Amino acid sequence: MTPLERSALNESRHGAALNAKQWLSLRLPKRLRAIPLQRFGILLCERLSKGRRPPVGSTEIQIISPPSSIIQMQRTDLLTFCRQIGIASSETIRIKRGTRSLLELYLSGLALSYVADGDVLLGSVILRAAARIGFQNVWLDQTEIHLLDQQESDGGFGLVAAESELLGDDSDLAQTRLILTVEILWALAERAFSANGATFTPSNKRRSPTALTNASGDR
Amino acid sequence: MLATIAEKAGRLAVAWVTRNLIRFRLYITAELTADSIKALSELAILYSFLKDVGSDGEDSGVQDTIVSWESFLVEQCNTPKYAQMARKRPGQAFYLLMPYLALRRTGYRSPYHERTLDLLRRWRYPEATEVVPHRLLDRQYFLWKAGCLDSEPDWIRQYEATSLRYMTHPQYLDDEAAYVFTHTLFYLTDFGRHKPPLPSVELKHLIQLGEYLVIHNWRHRQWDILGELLVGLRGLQRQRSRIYVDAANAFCETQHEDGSVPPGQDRKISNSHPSEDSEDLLFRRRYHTTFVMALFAFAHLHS
Repeated sequence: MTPLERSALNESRHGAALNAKQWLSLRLPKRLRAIPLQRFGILLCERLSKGRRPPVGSTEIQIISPPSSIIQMQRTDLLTFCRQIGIASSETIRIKRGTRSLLELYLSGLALSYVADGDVLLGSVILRAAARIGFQNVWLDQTEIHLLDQQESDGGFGLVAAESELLGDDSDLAQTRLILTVEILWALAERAFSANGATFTPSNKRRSPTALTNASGDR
Repeated sequence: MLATIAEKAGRLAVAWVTRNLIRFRLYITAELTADSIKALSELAILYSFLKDVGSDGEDSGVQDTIVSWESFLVEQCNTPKYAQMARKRPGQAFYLLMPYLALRRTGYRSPYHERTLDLLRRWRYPEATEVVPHRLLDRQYFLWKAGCLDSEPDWIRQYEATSLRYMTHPQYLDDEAAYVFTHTLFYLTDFGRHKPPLPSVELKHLIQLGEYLVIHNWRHRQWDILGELLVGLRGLQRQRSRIYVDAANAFCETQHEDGSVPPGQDRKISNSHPSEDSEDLLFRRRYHTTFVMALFAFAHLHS
């Protein structure tokens, strides 16, 4: 990514957070238990706008398995693994010597692979984990841009109308979108902090995700 | 280490094919089917590839094993009702004659099929059949290798006509796109044996795309596609990269003790014929990926 494209990505994150905050603030969750999630989403938008780090847990994590073991990991196991990384503080994440670059390659390839299958939630969680470790590469950039492209005009994320209709009465489209929106915002916030540190100051201009996508696709 | 594993896997795959040679006959039933032409074509392509590898000095004991393949292929190609078909359906002649074209590459000539090729030239085939760019590349490659073209195709121009240059957002690629990728790389690399004659920016793009597709198809356990991707990456000279080695080891681990390789959990085969027994079904399900294993193994060993 060129510095110009990276700057455009920063702007897109910022714009996405502003729109998402509006969507989150205007809606009243049907279920009471969704309110903390809504508030957490708003908190992430604010932190992203101010360039502040998303909340961090105190977990320590050691990654000692061969990096290739994550390729065929069951979805639920990979989700748990990445969520553990995602809440660990960067300083406490230990990676087996000599495996860092391969772990970066596989983790970023998996992020793109899962969003390719429409699994935006797991793609977001992997992206957040990769950012927490401090990984940066073109596949992570492409995954992030893909997530940004999932934002609807109302500010919420997730192109899930058809899936919700298929599920019928059991589905709650708003709840599904709330979960996806918060997961994506969390990944964007982690990426923003990872890429810029605490010094990031977004400008008021916003580039459209579509233009950004095209720019990053140029070779 | 990988070389040893690959050599064993390649030899086992070739031995399995040899044991199942009879199942590759064109007329398993009274009717000629697309499946049986495809299977015999792939056998002939693998045979010509192994002969090429052998003539380059590769000696893994397979050259003795595949002697029986040649007489079988010649016998099948000379079945009259099959041989006549290309003259009856010139629009499909390239596809129908693929087993013969692959044999022709190894030096074999059949007067009947040579006459068919003359007739097809007069009737302006295969050019009169419209094909998409990666299929045109496929056609040009096999005709060139069979010695049917006067001059070598312009590979760069052929590549530029395909969609590969525009595949810059891999998350949107489906199995069909992966097919375009693997088969274009087959021809541009001469099945993993040469670096494609492309500018470095394109090579870098293809490596990045190929490595992503490796991770995606490895995750999905699409072993046939994974093996084909490894052949392409071998041609792109990535055989020492960690991702190539890890994925190649994972691919080799899928091989059964008898030498056959399953296609992967998501792959489907067309409906079985009522007369097929379970051995036939197993064969039809596994032969393609077993071919891919042999291709991968001997492309990897070739230097």
